[in-house]
Amino acid sequence: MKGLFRAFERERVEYLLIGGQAAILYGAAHFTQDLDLWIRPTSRNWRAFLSALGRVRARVHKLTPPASLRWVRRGHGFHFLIPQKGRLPAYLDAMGRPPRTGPFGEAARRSRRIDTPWGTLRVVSIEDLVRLKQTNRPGDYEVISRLVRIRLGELRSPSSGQMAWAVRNTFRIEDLTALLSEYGERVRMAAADGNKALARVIRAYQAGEIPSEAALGPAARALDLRMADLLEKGRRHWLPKIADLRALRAKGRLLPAGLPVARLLDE
Amino acid sequence: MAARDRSRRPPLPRILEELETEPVRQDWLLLTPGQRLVRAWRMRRLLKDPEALHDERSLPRL
Repeated sequence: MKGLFRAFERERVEYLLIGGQAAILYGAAHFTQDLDLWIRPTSRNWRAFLSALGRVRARVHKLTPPASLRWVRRGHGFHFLIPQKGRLPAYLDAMGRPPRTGPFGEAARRSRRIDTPWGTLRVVSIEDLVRLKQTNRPGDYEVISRLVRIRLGELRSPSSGQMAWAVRNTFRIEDLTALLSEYGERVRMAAADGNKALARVIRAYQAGEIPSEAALGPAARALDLRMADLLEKGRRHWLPKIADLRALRAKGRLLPAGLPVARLLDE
Repeated sequence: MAARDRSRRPPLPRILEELETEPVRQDWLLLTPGQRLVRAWRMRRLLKDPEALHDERSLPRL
């Protein structure tokens, strides 16, 4: 993988590491099977990215739309296979417009440079990673809880705004009670976002009390509903992309799996 | 391209399934980010069918 990131440097590719590898670098995950990248969606940069992939003899993987900026800007995922000498090939998934994020430039300004044996990598901020992880996969919400705890641990004195962010990204009642017992006095009622059940639990911690079962039950249901809503939004995000891919497949316009990326640059 | 058949896809090996869901251990947080990256990447060797796993998790279902 060192070769891939060296190629990015040579081609001056503007990228951000997202997904599971980013979660691992922050300590919020233990394992991921692939590499997810956010590539700045400009013509020059997308071409530089493909050139870098060409340098490392990457091949197109499955369900990949034409590698033009049009499809990049529509928020599609592009899937590649990176050969690695004597090792399993690496799967690389790239996007120019990942869901729930703002412009690349702003995320790049918030990003961190992290030294690794693969080089100094550009990694999305924890806050951006939390937004990216609000997917249609329930397992990602455990990673979000860990990212929130890790971020709070980095802050010596989290502000009420940061605490509201933490509460909004907590999805299990046991995580909420752990958060409130540690930081309760910093959490303002606004963090409940008008939800009476959550407000009741926050109020109890602010008063130095342990909330009753009668208070915790509705709060747990409120968290479940919040997570279900995000899961559904995450699922819906992909519906137009799936429709695009079906149409491309019907017209035989998906990139053929196994195609060397270098060939895309000749077109 | 044929629609993918989920029933044929092997599950994540148990050890990796546990790693995904277990709480983050303190010793994991004490490693440098680079050390975590290397160890996590090495665990990919435990995968019997990395392609099936990738496709199951990362490709949309058409």
